[in-house]
Amino acid sequence: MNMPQLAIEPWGNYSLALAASVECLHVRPWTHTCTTPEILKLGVEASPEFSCLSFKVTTGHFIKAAMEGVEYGVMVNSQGTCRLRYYRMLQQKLLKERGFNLFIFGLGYDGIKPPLIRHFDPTMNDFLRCCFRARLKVLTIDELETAAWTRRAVEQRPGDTTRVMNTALRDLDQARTVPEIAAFRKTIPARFNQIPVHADRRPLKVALLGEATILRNSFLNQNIEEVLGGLGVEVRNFFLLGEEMRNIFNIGLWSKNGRSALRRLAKPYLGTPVGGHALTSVAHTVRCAQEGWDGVIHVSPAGCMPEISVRPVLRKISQDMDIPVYECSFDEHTSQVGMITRLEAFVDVLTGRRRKKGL
Amino acid sequence: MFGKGKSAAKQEVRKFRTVGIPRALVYYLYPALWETFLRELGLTVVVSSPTSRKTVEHAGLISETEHCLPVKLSDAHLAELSGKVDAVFVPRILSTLRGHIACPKLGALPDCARAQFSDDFNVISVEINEARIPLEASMAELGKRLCAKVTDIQRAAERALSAMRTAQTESKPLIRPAGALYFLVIGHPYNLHDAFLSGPVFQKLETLGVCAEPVSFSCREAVPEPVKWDTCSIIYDRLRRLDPQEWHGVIHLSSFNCGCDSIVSTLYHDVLREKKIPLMTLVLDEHAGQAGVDTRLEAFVDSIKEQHEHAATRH
Amino acid sequence: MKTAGYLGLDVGSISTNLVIVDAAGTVLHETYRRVGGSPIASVQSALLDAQAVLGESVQIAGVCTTGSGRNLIGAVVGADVVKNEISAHAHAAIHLHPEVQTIFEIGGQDSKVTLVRDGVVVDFAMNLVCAAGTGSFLDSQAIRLGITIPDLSERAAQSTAPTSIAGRCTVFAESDMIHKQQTGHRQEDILMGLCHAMVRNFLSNVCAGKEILAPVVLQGGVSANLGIRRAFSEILKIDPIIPKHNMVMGAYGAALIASKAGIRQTIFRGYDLCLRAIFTQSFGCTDCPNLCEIVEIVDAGRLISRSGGRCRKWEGDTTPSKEKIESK
Repeated sequence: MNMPQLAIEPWGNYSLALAASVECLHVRPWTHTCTTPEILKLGVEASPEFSCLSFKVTTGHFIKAAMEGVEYGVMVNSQGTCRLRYYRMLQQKLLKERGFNLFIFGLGYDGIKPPLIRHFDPTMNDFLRCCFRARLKVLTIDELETAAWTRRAVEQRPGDTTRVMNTALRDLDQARTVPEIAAFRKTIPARFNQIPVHADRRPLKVALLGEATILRNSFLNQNIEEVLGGLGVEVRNFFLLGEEMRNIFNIGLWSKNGRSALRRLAKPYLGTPVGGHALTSVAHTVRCAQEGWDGVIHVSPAGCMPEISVRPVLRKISQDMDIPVYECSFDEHTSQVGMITRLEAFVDVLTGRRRKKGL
Repeated sequence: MFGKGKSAAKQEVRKFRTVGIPRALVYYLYPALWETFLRELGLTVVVSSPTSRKTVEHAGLISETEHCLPVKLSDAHLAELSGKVDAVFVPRILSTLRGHIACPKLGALPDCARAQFSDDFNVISVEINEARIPLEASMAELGKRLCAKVTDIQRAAERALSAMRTAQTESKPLIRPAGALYFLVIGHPYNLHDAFLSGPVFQKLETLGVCAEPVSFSCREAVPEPVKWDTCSIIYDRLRRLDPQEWHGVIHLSSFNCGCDSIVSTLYHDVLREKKIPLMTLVLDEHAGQAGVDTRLEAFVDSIKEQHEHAATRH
Repeated sequence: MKTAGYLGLDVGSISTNLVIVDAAGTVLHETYRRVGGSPIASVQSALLDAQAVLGESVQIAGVCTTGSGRNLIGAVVGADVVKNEISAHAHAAIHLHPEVQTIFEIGGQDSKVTLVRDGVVVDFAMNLVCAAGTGSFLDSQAIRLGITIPDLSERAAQSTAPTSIAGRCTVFAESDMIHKQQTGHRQEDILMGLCHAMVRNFLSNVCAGKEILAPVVLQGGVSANLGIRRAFSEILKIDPIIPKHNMVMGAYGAALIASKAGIRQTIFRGYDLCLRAIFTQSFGCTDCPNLCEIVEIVDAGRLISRSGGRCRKWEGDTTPSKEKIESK
């Protein structure tokens, strides 16, 4: 059977869930959990020089997909203020100029039945079942990620958590039906509990905030979660797709991470959403300070319009509320060696603070 | 923290005597408007001095490294006002045109000004969102915050708007000697009208015998497709209507790290390529040397002249 | 009785530095040398030097490596502590000048600022992709002008009216510098202009938005340059302190860290390692599309370490290569 293929932009481990969500369209998903050097190179070559890394990398993925004969792609339609709004239009243009026939569907903000669904026209039954399945997978991955962040900081043998995580993701990919996924979800605590840990350690707690593409793509962020974990730091990456979805559909209106709650938190420092995840970054920094986290790492692509524009605000919060904020910009030239050096130094700063406070 | 918030709110209502306006961003987006408005309300208005090498160097030292040049300059202009005024006017610009949005950086400006200069002065702000609120309403809101009388506000607003219209049409009409080259110079108003940034370009074009006209932002209409950013959309609209018989070249003054330009410049390029009008992009940054600009402009003008001569001999 | 010595090694991209201190932190031996071909070879020769100078009187009781090659060299020499260079530099500066509030460290390709309050590092920043605020900026301009760095240092200090040189990167600065030469500026003034440009690039690329308070310590390879010292005091209106051992602060910091680490039994592999053939080799792991490069260290024919790879499965795995690749 010759099913058409659909390229999905990389969303880290969530790519697995997104791939599952398009099954009902009778297409073969084409996606990666992570970018490769080759894909990045393709994207950088094709993109305008001063565009952001997120653009370059998604463009790279679509080009790679087109080279492998993929016919369709899907990209979010943004109504925001930042450059994301123009991604799809520009990428379509770049692909056409290179003679590729990959059509990119927009997703979101265009009516109850987006063009993607209209084109492939799945039955309602199929569609709903897929949605449930994908949602459950997303929530399961949220849970896996959270478990890995806490475990990695205290593991006895470096790499154990990553190994468990990789097996778990492979198993999750095999689970196809809702009962299967639910059954898998129950095994998560047992999987991570088997990792031998230093129970007496009180790891530093560091929040990763900022732009979603970089936060989710371990190739772009130089594997920041694992590097910090290896340094004995408990991280929390504030981009969890499950939470994000709740916000998009406004279900989490009253939850702790709901939009209105975040706006209230950010209010003393930022009176406008700005765009992208800028408001979220500010709000979470305030919350982390209130909750006594050891530090915050603000991650963004170099030159990111919304994230860079709130940096002075983050600095002010850092001063006022006494929480170290480290700003990390990433572009295609970022070297892993330099990144690790900086992260190690930041961890040293945080350790020094704890010692000084006598904790 | 609570105490701080309250006192900030109180200060905003207090009457200020001298108010500063940084000669950056909003100053060029709304020429003469806010200056006139505040002055008509009876305030002493101090506008920071024109951008100079010193401003640029100071911007490099105090501003976030990854900001675009105009925002960096804005920081330096704000710093210059420190100690000279009671408060500084930094509006929250969300849109300057119906159906459009502004660059996201402009929306966070008052918050950043408060974060960076909280020890130096108060920040008076008002939301400018012409996509939703008419400009007059924003002015009324600002007047109210400054405790002005309603009649005074109305009078001041009228005078301010007419001052802006005059300023926008003031630029002398282009004299068109026969046989000369006509260039349109495009770019954000804060790049085009900051004499320190654009001056060398206009001067060089003049010595090369080129009639250069900066794109006008006085029109209040543009189609928001495909470009949603206000100033970029006006430029795009103008380029779409540009007559290749009349215009021989376009020069785009972009600034280093400008997010908007990184996307729209490819669109400008496409429109002009279809019309066969040559485009050259000059990226302004804090280190720009005159020599580089001169060489590029000379080469650009030479190539256009040659093309024209070539076409003439063929006919 | 033998003195306990603590060895600090700073293996950077430009130089390999070695410092040995005693338990009290006094420097017993220091060397600064440019990296030739291989960092391992330069570490070996630096160690041989140290052995020759100190002889049998000093017993190495602890080793700490730092710099971009810290992990590789750490595995080669057997380091008890592996520390990033930002912390190591700060450690040394605070040890020598406890009252310091700002540390500028400018090396060949890296430059960093570290803010210290009450003897504790509270913030730092390092140049990202641009080398315009580092020593290599001056190096390349000096080459263009056909003069040496010591020459540049001396002559820049004699300038009376420094030329303003524009340039974000070395290439643009070069074209502007040539332009200034052609318009007849004195060479001393141009040289001082270059120092100003480098310091400005450093301050705006690395230090923007950071609160710079005196006392300021200036260290790293570039700190020897008189023009740079002058540029700092002219722009910041603060005279920077140039610490003792300013060229080898990373290694000195590392040695101090080793001396304070409370090491009971060092895992230092002995001076003998200088005499053996130690080299690195690598292979591309093809198990996933990341195609990571796995680096192996071979000591006299025996595999002693493997590293690299995002998934970390090769870490600490020292079974001979061939079958390993096949079985994985």
